[in-house]
Amino acid sequence: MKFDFAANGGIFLEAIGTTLYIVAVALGVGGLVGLGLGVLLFVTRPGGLRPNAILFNLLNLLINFFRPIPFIIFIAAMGPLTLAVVGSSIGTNAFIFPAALMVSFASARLVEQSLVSLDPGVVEAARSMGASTWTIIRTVAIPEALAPLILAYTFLFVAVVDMSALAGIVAGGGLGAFALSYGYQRFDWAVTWLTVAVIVVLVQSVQYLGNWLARKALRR
Amino acid sequence: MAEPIIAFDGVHKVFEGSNRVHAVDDVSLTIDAGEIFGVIGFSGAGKSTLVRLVNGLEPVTSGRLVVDGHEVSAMSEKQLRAVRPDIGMIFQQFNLFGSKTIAENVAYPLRLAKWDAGRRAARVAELLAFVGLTDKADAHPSQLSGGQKQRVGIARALATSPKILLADECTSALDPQTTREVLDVLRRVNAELGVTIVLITHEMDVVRYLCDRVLIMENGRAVELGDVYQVFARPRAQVTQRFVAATMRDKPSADALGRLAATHPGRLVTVPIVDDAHTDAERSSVFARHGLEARVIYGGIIEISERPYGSLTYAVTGADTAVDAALADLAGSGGYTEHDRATLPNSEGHR
Ligand SMILES: Nc1ncnc2c1ncn2[C@@H]1O[C@H](COP(=O)(O)OP(=O)(O)OP(=O)(O)O)[C@@H](O)[C@H]1O
Ligand SMILES: [Mg+2]
Repeated sequence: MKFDFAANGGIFLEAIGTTLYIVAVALGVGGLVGLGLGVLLFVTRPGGLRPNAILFNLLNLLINFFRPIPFIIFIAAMGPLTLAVVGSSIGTNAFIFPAALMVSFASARLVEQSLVSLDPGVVEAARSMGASTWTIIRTVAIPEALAPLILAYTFLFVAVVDMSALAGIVAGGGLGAFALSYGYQRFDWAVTWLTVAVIVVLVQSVQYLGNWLARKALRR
Repeated sequence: MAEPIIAFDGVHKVFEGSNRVHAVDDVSLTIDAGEIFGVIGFSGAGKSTLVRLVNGLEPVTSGRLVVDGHEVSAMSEKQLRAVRPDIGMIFQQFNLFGSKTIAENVAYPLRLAKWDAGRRAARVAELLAFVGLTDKADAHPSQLSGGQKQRVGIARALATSPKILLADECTSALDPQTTREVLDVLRRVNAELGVTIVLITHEMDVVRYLCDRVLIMENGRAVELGDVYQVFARPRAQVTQRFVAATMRDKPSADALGRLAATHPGRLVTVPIVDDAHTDAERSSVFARHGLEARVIYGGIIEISERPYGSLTYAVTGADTAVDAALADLAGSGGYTEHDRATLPNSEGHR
């Protein structure tokens, strides 16, 4: 039976909505936590503003440990923790929790890399004027590294859209599940391709926006 | 007698690590309020480290360092932050904030000091006028030339009216013309605002143009310190002699002497031109007084601290006894160097 858009268009729209919700929350929460972790890595690294070998190595280890785990296995492994935190191991929110965790680790690295590539001279200049570590982060490091940071988060957005397609495996819904159950399993290729089109348009627009913002941040 | 504003007393800085570096090794010296103090030395000598101790960017390992009444060597990072607005710093790569406009760059230290917007704007306008960049207030650093960037750096460093300005190779990225522009601004900073300047450079020319006294560093040690003119005129340490020779090029190399010997008869004598008790007239007439003919075949004279300095190499012809008598006179009035023809490279055989 082919998918009837006239009758069931709502299901498709709901899938789009779920995907957007997953991406927004996972990227919002994970991205923010990652920003904090990335800044912490930048500050505590050897030769950083407040070198702290213990904290730096601990964070590094944590990130290096979790990052290589394939996301689908990570979801399974996080099951007990998800259950404890979210109260359920299935559904959209049960998917968002491990997704946000993974995004935290990934963005921590990306933020750290953007900040490390910063010219140390400007940090030194701010220090020579008496700026505190927190002030330097807020008023120098992040503004000066804004363009790479925007590109890093744009990249992350694409990665989270990619991740979100797996929500179906914990009955979390979204476009991935939609394409599988209404397209693939019913041999209704048009439905699958429509899903692909929606995702391509979404990713392309965000990538375009990110590039534009980064260019604006650089035009100075 | 000027008051010392910076006093090093047995100061050491050691960088621990896989290869331990003794970057500053037992330095004791004072820098007077209002002077322009030069620091030269080859790469890795410890110049930057020495200067970064002054505003506490690097903590002192041992010894005592007092800056403007603060015992910097005993202060915490938090205490140092309060002192740093009184010590401006400029850099080789300018280190302007690329994401901020020129006016915002200059205003940055004032924001840190919590000045209100109105006073900030007035001070920024004043500083930009001082460095001649009023029209660039809304530009971004990338739109400026190197010399203009360094002038912004100077304006930013002076925003909080520091008593001391630390300049680390502040002209090394600039061409000679622009270097001169920036040095002239620094001279005004010193003369008009009374700011003490500590200036690192590896160009003796910069020292000669701007500094009152100069410190020569080697392997973390302060090997020579004195008035710029004295250091040029009578360099004692070997590094100093190398620096002076590299700047001056007034003394012929052995090869050049060989070529000169091939084309000029007589004995070859280099006479230093140093502005001290003995006048140059006395010295340059010495050969004539002994009835000798002396022809200048090499040399150079420049001005250091508004006094002449250099050397001239003569080919002296006449009776040997008369030459010896003239040289004896020179020995008593500032010295000379005679080049023995027998030891010179034989350039007649060369072509
Ligand atoms: N943060 C650091 N950690 C370890 N070693 C350092 C550090 N900073 C400087 N050094 C070492 O200390 C020595 C002196 O360095 P410094 O930068 O003070 O030299 P310099 O005279 O300024 O040289 P240059 O003319 O190249 O700027 C060098 O051997 C350098 O490698
Ligand atoms: Mg240096």
